[in-house]
Amino acid sequence: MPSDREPEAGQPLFQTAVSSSLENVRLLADAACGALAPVLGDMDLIKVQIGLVEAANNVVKHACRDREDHTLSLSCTVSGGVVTLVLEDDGFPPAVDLNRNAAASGAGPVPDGMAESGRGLWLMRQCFASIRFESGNGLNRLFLRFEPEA
Amino acid sequence: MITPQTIGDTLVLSVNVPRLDAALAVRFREEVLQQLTEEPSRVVIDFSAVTFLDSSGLGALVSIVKRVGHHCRPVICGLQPAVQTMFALTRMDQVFKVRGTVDEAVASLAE
Repeated sequence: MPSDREPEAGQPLFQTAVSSSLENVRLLADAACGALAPVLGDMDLIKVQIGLVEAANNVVKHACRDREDHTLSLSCTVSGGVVTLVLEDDGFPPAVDLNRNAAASGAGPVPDGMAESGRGLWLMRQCFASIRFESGNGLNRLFLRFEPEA
Repeated sequence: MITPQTIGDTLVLSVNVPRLDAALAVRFREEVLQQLTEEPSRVVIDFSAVTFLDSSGLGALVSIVKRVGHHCRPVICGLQPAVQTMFALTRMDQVFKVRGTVDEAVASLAE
């Protein structure tokens, strides 16, 4: 639910950057949850955290290939109660079409309960209303749009 | 990361990190498996200190079950809201027996 603390449309609620390690993903999640706590309810915050952590883990593993000499930046805007997180990295562009994968209608079937991996993108789709990817000028950007529960 | 205790004939493994995520998942799996070398038949994993779990932590849990076999699939307890949400989203609450407390988990194994 939007609050009185919602900033002007388009104005970042926060921006932060960390080196590209799995250990630092929690710093991004903490920054997002801290900044969004006045704006979102508890369950919405949990979903943002789950989706954001899965997205950032994938960036570290795939775009940055587990190397810490890349940078992950996160910014967040809130407009009309809708939260947009932008995760930017200077790693390698993806080998697959993330927009096609991310834009598939619905999240798809629940992953096999006994699978040891492969839940990341599915969880991102569960948590975010839409996911969009851009790549150019040496930067990759993932736009994660979150619509709070009515 | 893991504190073991025995209650009756049940091994209770308490996870002592606030976030079980991709950075710690491999270590979690190895530490739990280290505790299960004697193949106990009754195991509880207590998540009450864990406030966040990602899909890598979940994958590590599944990996543990596959390694030890279904005969001693652990009962999970103490799920905090974000961890409970992760279990519900991924339907892992249907894969594992989940209880509220250690006592309830231990009792469920005695049924």
